[in-house]
Amino acid sequence: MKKMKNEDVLWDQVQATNGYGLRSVFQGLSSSALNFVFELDKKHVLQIKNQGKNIKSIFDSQAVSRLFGLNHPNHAFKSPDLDWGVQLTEPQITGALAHLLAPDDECRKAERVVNFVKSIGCKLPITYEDAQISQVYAELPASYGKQRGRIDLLLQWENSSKLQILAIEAKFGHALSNDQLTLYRGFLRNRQRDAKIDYVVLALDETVMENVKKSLRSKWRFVPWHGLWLQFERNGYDEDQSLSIFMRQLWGRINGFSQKEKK
Amino acid sequence: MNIRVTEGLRAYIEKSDFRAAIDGLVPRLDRNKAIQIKSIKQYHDFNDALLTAAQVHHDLIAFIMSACEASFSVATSAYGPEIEWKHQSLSEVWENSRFWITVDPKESNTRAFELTAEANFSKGTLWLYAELYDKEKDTYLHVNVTEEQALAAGLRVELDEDGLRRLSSEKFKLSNFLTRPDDFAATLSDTGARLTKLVLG
Repeated sequence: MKKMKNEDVLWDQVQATNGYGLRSVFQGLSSSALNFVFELDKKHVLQIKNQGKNIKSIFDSQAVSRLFGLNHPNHAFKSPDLDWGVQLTEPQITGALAHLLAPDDECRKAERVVNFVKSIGCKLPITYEDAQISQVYAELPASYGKQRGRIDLLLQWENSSKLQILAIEAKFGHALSNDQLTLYRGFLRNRQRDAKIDYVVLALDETVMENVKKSLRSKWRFVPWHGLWLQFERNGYDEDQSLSIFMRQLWGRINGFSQKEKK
Repeated sequence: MNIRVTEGLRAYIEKSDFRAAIDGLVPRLDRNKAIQIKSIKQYHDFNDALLTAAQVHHDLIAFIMSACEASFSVATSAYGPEIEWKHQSLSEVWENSRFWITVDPKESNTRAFELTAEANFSKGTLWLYAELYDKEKDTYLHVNVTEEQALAAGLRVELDEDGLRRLSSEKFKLSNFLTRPDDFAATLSDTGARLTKLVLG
């Protein structure tokens, strides 16, 4: 049989091909077919086929699943995207969160609270046993000096007989005042002198911290809503639809990864 | 006209959780903003997921444009249809899931018909419609087709969000597109031809 092409010329052409086309055609052929049609020696056939193996497929649904944690059966994205025609307000969201983090079932409560504490990046020690008897408050009245206010969300638990507090000021685009942060910090320090306290500003984007005094900025750490949402979903949770539907609504309310209010 | 079923398009149509995830990722294709990630592995996932989102973004736009082309290009070829490119950036096609061509009726230089293919992926449907546009007054008008005429052609007259009459097809199921893409394209072509004939004569 007459050679169709000089082996080296063909090899140069394969090498010069900068794309998936020719290589994927070669990849689809068996080694014997490559050998037969192009009369390549085995070494070159293997080289061509191995080259094809290194091509990363562009479409990779598993990458999307891994990022969002879609493998969890109760993921928010598996819940219906309800259209209520209204936007949830800050107090409604923190109120719902406090309610959902502390269901009657202690095991569920422990899993949810630990998931939440970890997802928000809180480094305070917590075990499932601590979380089972933890307390979760929304809109907790606070006073310091003559100032009055409400802490949006507060979780507290005991670890090794030491009180741990996660205090959260939740924002959706509204201005953050230095007075509020000073008040909440002063209130908690007065009331719980021995507690370890993690102060968090939970907001869409970090610009909310721009007007916060430097001294307060070192005490309160910023966490983006999308970061909390993503980690909470990646960790997975139980099959209670109240939680997954709420998380789906929350995704819409925080406008996904956009880190700004919906127009 | 060939409308391709790609892996990305299939997943986007069939899986609502995958669709929600892609919808969340596409705005981040500008790569200007990071998301809060806890590890290098997660950042790899984010980078890989963005690549998939870009593929789905491409495939969906290609699908909408091909659906419009399959529906109207043959029937309107004699009219020299135009693309309103200024109002159809790729991000607008993605966000609205629609693409249209503009055709000037022979008897008028001031009016144009907009022939649109639009999909609703959460409802799993695609439909065609024709609207009448007044270029001088920069406003839409009622399409001058009666309900009887529309029904006789297997179409319907419906009101848009501003209460203006437009001529519309039934809503075709995207699941049919996934199982029989060639039949789906043929249905679009047939429907588009009937719709075009009724508005352009």
